[in-house]
Amino acid sequence: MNCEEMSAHLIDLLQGELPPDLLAATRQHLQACPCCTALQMSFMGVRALVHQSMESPLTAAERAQLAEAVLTAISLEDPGFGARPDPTTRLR
Amino acid sequence: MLQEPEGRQPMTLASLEARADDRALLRAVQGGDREAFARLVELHSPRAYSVGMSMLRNEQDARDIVQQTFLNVWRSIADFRGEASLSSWIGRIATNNALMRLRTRRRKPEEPLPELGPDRPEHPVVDWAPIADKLHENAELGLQIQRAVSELPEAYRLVVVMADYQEMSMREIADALEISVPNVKTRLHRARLALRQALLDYVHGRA
Repeated sequence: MNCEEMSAHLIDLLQGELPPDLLAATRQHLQACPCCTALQMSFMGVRALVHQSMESPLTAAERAQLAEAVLTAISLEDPGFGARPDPTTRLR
Repeated sequence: MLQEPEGRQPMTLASLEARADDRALLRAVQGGDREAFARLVELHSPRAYSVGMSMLRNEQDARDIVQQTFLNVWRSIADFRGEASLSSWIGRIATNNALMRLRTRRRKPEEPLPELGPDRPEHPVVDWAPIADKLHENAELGLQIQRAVSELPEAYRLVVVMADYQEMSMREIADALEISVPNVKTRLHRARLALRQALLDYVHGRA
């Protein structure tokens, strides 16, 4: 496997979607290629940082305020709120 | 820490406890407990808000997405069987709502995919180390990546949010965006290169 082929498989590898028959070849390439290893590490870092940075966008007060607004809106839009959800109104 | 399949976020004890809490909460909500639903909203609204904000880039739109999402959740929770986590399920509903809003907003055909730079970085080895050391300790890096994601063209931004935050599969993203799987991979690859470059620029003081 060369670097171009590795690059094509990198997304699948990082998403856990690489076909098993390619796993050994990509790992072998990564062990021998510092460029692709660096690219893989940086992509893993970017992904972790994106995930982490989006985890807690609200303070506790903002969260409570948002929840209150949601419950008020649902009460207005759905008179059945507070009772068991009506099976006939379920979304598909 | 427990191991998840390669590529997925690791499963921690805290996340297992959260799932157990979610199951109890789910049973109460499915039993018609309004207080439990209020708790569910408070616990999971940040995720719906995050999805709305990152996809639509507008605070009011994000709040609207949260409201619509939990209205959907309330109406369909009796059907939820818990195959996915509550958090993932709510995130998917928020994602679908945000996509619908984007489609409604879009009045002209989608523009060609904008260029984001070369598909291979020029110097992949030399530059990344300073960032790797700071990844888990520098909140400023989190703000920088949020800004960089927000500045990505929509075609790339949506894929990043769905893949890296929502942890949707390539097929799920392709179906949601009505594009091919190879197209999703191309966008994700280019987007990560652009985000990587934005972080490098920040760390090297060029931003």
